[in-house]
Amino acid sequence: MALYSAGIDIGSTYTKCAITDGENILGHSTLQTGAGAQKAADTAMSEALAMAGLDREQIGAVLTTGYGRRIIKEADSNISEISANARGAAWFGKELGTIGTIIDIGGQDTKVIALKEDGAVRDFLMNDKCAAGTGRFLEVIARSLGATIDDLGEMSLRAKGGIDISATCTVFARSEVASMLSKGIEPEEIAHALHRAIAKRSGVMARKVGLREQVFFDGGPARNIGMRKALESELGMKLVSPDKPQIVTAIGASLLARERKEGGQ
Amino acid sequence: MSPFYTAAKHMLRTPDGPSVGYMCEFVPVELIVAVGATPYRMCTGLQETTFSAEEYLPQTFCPLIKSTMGAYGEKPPFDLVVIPATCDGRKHLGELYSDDVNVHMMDVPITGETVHARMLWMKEVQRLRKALQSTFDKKITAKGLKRAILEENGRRELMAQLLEQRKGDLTLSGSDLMLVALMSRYMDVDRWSKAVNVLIASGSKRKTRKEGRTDRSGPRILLTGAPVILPNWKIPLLIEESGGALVLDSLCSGTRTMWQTAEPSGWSIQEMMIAMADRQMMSLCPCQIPFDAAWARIRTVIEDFQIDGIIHHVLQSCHPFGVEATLMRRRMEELDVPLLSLETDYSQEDVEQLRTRIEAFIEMLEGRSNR
Ligand code: SF4
Ligand code: SF4
Repeated sequence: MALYSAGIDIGSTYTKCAITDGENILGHSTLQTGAGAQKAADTAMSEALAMAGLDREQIGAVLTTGYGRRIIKEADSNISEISANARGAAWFGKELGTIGTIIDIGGQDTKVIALKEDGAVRDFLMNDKCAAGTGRFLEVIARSLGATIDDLGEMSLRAKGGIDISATCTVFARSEVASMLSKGIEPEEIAHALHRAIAKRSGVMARKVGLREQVFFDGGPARNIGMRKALESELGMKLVSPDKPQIVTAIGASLLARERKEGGQ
Repeated sequence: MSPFYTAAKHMLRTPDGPSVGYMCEFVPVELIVAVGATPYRMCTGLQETTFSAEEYLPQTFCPLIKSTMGAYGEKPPFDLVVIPATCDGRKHLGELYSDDVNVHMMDVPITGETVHARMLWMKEVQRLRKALQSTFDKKITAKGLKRAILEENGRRELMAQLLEQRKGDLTLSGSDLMLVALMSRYMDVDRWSKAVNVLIASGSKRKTRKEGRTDRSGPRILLTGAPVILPNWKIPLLIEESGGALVLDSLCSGTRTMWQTAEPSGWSIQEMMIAMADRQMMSLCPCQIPFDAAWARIRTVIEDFQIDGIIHHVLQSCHPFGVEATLMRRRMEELDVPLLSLETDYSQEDVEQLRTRIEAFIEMLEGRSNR
């Protein structure tokens, strides 16, 4: 009988679940973590199960990851999101070509992970001192521009460029954006500058760890075309991403759940 | 371990009798003992007191300086306070104290490897001796100093024995080892030595019976960087909770230099002063450049103690250890030993973030040994 495994990634903003059979992604879900990590994990799991057309009893192994990983009842074990993300990226590497570096911009942190040839973690850096340069930062600024985070990318592509945002703190950046708007600077230009500012910060981290191709860009903001373009020009490299960059870590957790089960751990 | 746990509850002691408060491992404590006073190491790890210190200090000072200032207030209760002028925090703390308290600053040569530096430091150790003599109106005799040196050497030899047991399987947790080392500066020497002897004996019994503790069989970790002072114990505890075998530390609050003894060529005052000064110059502290001596020690430790990975602790706003992290990272590339650098303060707020990093690091090291 096939072994189905689930990975649940309980992040500070979103909870993601992925169910795999080792070869294919059968079901997945993404929802806001909100107040209760346990509840979010339960819902994410049922949604992913529904998509996969499976029952809870058919899931042979569950592994949790992310900030909420230790408080979830039904998990067989947990692992840090660094290891889970690396595993997920390596899996996509089969299709996209071997991954050398992962840049993951998450809700409240940014990670850069260097991988070895065999997909094992070689080194990593994590920035979570403040929300600057993360998905949360994008969200806050999008709101003050009266846009959604999804509009932001398209908007920034229409910009002429040449404007800088200097503040590196979410609170200050917000007031900087407000004063730019009052000076009549176009929201498009601001969106563009914003992506550049985040790209710069991520670029510093990436160079510290050491960039090696292919560079894999994941986490929610990887869907944002403006963010991707800004990061590509900052690094001078092309980035690769899967279809659903926000569930890579959950997929990694699901694969690791399976490997741990088979390894008898 | 219970004598150490008990002592840990009383780190902020009120002195009875002649007392000298001091900060930092550059101070040769033998001179203080030889003048008949008790040395009190003033560094603290309390978070609460960092806030009250912001009344006098810029908020951006490192938590160790703020915590100490907050804990002792503006007037530490000692007859003399000795502060080596190392980092900015220490220098200015000394200045702030000097309005109300008898403070003696030591001029630490920044470049530690020149002849000139050695001469200067020698003179500074002489100057400390004079300051102690005039404060307590008492002469430091050759006999008294010899006794103090032998006592301190005894303490260090015990520490060296305990460190020797860190090779191979561990018989004592790393956080306990760090506590023992820290308490050597906050506990009476006789009580400390007695308790350490017990640990050494039980350790060697376990070693011969091959009873290494199986719960300490994870990747072998060396902790380097800024001082870790109780109760700010989160880093060693997180390493062990995450499955790491904390083999030893290389912190000035721990065992970084505790294995070095002073070996005078004879027992004249002059010869003893030279031996103490020379040992103290090997503080391996990043307030001095170049980093070569500290790095050489780290390399030796990696080999001798079969270290799999290094965790480097940086206290927020500390420049010396912040830069040391970069120097380490550069040099580690030539070795196949990974480094995790963590920046933190005395608060508990970032415990979960630190845990994620430390767990990921240990998972990474485990991955290396599996493949
Ligand atoms: S780090 Fe250096 S300056 Fe600071 S207490 Fe330790 S030895 Fe002294
Ligand atoms: S931790 Fe750094 S800044 Fe703080 S006292 Fe020690 S050397 Fe100075």
